[in-house]
Amino acid sequence: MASVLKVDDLRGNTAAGNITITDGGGNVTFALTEGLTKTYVAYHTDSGTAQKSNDTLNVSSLTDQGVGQTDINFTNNHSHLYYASSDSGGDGAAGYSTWMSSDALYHGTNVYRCATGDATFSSRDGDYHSMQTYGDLA
Amino acid sequence: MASKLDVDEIAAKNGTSPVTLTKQSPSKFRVHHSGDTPTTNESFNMSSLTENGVGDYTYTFTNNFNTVHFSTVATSTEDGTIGYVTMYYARGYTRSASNVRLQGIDQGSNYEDGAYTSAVAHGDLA
Repeated sequence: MASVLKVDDLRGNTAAGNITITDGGGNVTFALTEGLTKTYVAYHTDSGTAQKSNDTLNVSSLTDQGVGQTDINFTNNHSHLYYASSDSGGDGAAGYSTWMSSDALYHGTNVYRCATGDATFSSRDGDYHSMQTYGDLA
Repeated sequence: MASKLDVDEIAAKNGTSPVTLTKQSPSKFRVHHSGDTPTTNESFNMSSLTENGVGDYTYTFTNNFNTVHFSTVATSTEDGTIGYVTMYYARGYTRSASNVRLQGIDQGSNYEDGAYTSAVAHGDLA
């Protein structure tokens, strides 16, 4: 019979942030926290800059930094500058692309700047963007 | 009353099989690296990063996926001179459970290294 563990707070005993789990294939173990998404948000920038819903993680606020430029401010900071991330956006008509800012002023442990542009490589706002981050928090 | 469980390892009831994380699926690979002559800044489950050419990277996993059809997302930077760089599956890439090959292209449709690139993959490991 399958068992279900119901608990509100799960943490490592030896080290609070290290809980080992077995992957779906059954042959590989890894630290649970290594795989968890640490930030996510879906938002729009075409009618002001705002979240699409309240279904976000670790986002304290969004800051409009101009056309196609949005700062995602974190509630809890990453432990270092070089965390992995992904983002996307587009509407099919504008030929969107997205990219992250390489400028350290705009890419910090406490903030990630998303940039969106159109098919002519000009900055452009849109009605649906999303981003995620991965890696350790401070 | 809130409950807390202090534990080092979680497994299914038989002690070895994977435990189900309700509505959760952790990522299984990630990397953040620089562009020209790429230097890995941070990674998880990556054994090597190979630059095949300008903006052309092969990421080899420490532990392989259990299918070639795992999901990958990637993003790169603009740097004020080359325009932004968009990442996509490399042209001619033969899908593999042990690696993923991505390329970056700039606004002039040229292969390009972004100042920084990151990639993440999801799915079950072998």
